[in-house]
Amino acid sequence: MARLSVVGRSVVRRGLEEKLTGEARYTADLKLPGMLHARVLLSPHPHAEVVSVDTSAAEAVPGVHAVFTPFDDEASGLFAGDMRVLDTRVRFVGDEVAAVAAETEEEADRAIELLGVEYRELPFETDAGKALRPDATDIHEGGNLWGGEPLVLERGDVEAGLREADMVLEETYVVASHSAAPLEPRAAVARWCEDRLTVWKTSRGVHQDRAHLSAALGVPEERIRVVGPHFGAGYGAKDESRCAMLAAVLARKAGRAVRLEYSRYQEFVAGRVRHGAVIELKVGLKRSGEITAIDNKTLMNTGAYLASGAGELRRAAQGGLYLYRCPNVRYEGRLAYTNSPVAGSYRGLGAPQGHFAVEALMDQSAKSLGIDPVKFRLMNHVGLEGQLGRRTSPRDLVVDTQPVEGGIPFSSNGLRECILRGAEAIGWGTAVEEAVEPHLKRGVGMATCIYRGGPGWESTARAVLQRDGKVDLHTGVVDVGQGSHTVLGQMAAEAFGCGYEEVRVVSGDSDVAPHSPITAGSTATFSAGLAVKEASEKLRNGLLDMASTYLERAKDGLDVSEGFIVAKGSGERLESVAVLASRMPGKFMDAEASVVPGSADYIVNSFAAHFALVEVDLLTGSVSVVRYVAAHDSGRIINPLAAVNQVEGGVSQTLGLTLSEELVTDGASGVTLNGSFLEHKCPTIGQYPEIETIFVETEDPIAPFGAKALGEPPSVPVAAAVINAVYNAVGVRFTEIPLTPDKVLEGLARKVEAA
Amino acid sequence: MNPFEFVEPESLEEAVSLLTKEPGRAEVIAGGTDLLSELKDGLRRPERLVSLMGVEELGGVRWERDRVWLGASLTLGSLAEDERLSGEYPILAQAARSIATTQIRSVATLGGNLCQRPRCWYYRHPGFPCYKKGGVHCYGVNGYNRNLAILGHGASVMVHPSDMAPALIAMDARLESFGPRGRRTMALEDFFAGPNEQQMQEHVLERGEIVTGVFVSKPPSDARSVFLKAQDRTGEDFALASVAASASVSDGAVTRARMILGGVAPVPYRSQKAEEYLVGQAVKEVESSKAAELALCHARPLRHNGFKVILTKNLVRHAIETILKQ
Repeated sequence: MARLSVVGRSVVRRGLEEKLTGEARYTADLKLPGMLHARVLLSPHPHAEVVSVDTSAAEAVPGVHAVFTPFDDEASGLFAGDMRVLDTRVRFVGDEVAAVAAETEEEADRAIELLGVEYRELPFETDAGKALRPDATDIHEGGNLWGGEPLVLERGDVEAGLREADMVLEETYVVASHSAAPLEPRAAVARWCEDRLTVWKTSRGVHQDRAHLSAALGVPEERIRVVGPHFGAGYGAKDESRCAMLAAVLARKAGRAVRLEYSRYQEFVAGRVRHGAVIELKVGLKRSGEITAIDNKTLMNTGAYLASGAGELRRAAQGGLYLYRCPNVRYEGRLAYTNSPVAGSYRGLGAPQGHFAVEALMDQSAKSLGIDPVKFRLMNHVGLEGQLGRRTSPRDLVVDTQPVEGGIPFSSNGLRECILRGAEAIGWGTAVEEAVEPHLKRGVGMATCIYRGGPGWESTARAVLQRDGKVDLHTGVVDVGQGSHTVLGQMAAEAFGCGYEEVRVVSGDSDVAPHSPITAGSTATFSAGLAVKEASEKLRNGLLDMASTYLERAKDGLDVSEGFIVAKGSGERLESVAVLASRMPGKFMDAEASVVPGSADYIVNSFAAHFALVEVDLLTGSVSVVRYVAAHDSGRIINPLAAVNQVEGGVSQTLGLTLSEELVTDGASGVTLNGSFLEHKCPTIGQYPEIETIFVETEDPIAPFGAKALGEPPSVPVAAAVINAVYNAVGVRFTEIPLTPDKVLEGLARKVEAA
Repeated sequence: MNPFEFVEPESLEEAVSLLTKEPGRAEVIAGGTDLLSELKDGLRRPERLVSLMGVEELGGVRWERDRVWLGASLTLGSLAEDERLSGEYPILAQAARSIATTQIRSVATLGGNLCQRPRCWYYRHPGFPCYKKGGVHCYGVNGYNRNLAILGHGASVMVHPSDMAPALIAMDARLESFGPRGRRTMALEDFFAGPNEQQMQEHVLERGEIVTGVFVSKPPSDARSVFLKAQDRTGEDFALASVAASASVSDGAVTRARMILGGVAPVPYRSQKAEEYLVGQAVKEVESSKAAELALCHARPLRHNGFKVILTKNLVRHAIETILKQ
């Protein structure tokens, strides 16, 4: 792989200093002159008609300037498919019912308490399976099965594949719903200037937020500006919610700026959670170790609204469809509305649930066949050539990053090397060092991952050479804390030919930034990166035109390197970019590029293999991860330190899904019981294992500088790697996560009884 | 959070008078780690908070000839880090170190730990008017009761969350209090009150009465002890179950035993059956699993918490094996 000068270096992350010193300003820190404070009333009922809202007592509270109820004109706007700004039907405990704005937060609290809401309670259902029964109450028009029918994806003939198998294994896996639990709760500040609305919000896509606001409020997009200040994490969960709309309507009613910040409890309940899932999986095996069929029936709980449920249901399929070389695969996915908190995007979008089931059953398959789990993966994992079969999609069409059909090769595939290098690093095949105490049992386990490699939506970038010789990079992509601005800045510097410090990133403002998709699906580096690279190369080209005239030398003999115009070949520095820039005829020089990312010939995917060494306490049932190895193929790594951060963050975060986190709803009332950091058990630094990260650096030919997706893959194989290690330690196959001490102790007791 | 008046008296008499002047409107606050979260969640709305942190005599550790006095406003952090205490009463430091986080331990007090309210999710959620908040219904009985009682439940299936209490009871600690009727002491074991005796509090203090401290006698030279605690999140969490065990052994036989279970009953649960089994047994003859069975022989698990019976038995067994090896 060719060495580059800025790409591949661990330059210091943008915004790091401000965050470390506390200077960074987040949405809730903003203060505007005359700003009011808003509060929201959440429904106490899981399913009810809002019959009336008596606002007189609330409006009489001194300091109250606006009250917003579902009966106001502004309430009926529809966004994100099935959600109104405020609805006369509430569908879960936590659904927003009304909002008020007052001079102080205390006055707003008081007004909320004095709202007289009359509800007519309706039957409710929080369980996805029961919600799909014919006699269940309809939560939305058209019934509780989203789309009216299951999503069916298939390649080959699964029934035939199961018939030709020597052995069929079958298991049902259950994944609980949990919260993304971002440290920063969602917040928005809204201000109107005549008919123009400005909203500062916790955003992962200023243009998508603008579109939602426009649709919901009936205000043209051109009159809405959305700004995303520093972002206190969201992991995907901070889109398509009502927070900003409520602030905007209250601000218009009050004629003042309005700030709304959700409380911690509100963020847990009215934020977005991971989809709970029940996965019935069947695998057909030949005695030789060949996989003849994979049959997957998945039921997911999307809660009261769809949010990103459609994408979630689709992505949950991909592990079963594509991770293993198999001619006969089938996925039948059903997404159910229930009267539970809304499930939405959360790191991995369904893939962690799907991979948990697939990789747990593959571990069991290897064991049943008497084949080592690593060897079984090496025998069966999908290779560079892709799946068998013939391509059915048109050959000139960009290949889906989540294909079903066979016959399409990958642009790059380092899965095999991930497995081999990870296995070596964890010491696979050598005896596990025993714990000191006899009641602590150790074991190792592994799991693999396939994930979209980065091609997403059309992306635009603009590079501007200013008269001071610096380059402003305009991108609409919001840095959600993962470091995308740093990485895009590195790409711009590399492509243009200057130092990283010479690039400024201008972003997060829908009035300024070129139209961009949301930061989602691990696409920012790849998709925005392609646009950044192309725009920066164009700018370089423009500068070389000018240099050619100015230096009176042929353009094809010139290059830009480290902020200088140099002679090609010799590298002799002829003039600095800064001097040339100061002599530009115009005030600046710019170049823009729009790119539809992807390839018509290849599937672009990222890969990983994870290995866990766990310790199970037979007395307490607690599982701790002692050591962890995460080997990733995300192509060329743009910023090694930021990349390691991504992997370590993804692994440690997903230990919550695996071992401890669950958002619990009371069956009788529909009330979420544990919306707090104390009782929704996110892992803390005390639970973080020693994590070794390995990058298998393939250089992807389609990707910008060869760099593929890395944001979500680290969260995908974690659950299965850990649960497989627990099996190795204690000999019990656990199929429900989070694997909390109660499940471990009961599982161990069942094993003793069986023996 | 509702506005309130904050007063910081300097003497016990003044504190008691502030608490009794307008009964029901004032609450005691020390470290505030429990009370403040109740105020924020709207579970209580006192008009006045009477802080004990200005009352000098409630602080510190006082060493006497054959016992030690631990002040009610001694922080759990100081308790955990006191070298002499760790040496002479290791079980107390073990319990203190297992509680919450460094930050919380630096303000949370011993008295507060003994007087804290239930952690039950129904109790802590403002939407449930539960029995322990003055309602008629215990939602835990038929609700999500994974974390709730397996022993000794009555009108409520709450569990007492204190980790210090089992450890102190295992050391035969006595509690000292001061109230409108003056000063009194009682066995710490008798301080706690189950839901059938007390609805709105988990102890026997009268209105205006304040915990002033705890006396712990010097343990005999042949004493040994251990505190074990199981949590969902190791460190930083309340107990799913805890066991405080102490025993004396002479001439190869157990002469005294204490077996106190925490996190499993509405009050710290003393297992006399296990103690009776142990006393008089030759150390070599002790079957720890038999003691564990006896300790949990009255267990009545609820729908979701059968695992706590297994868990607590495991802890009892391990505690006995640990102290008999010491």
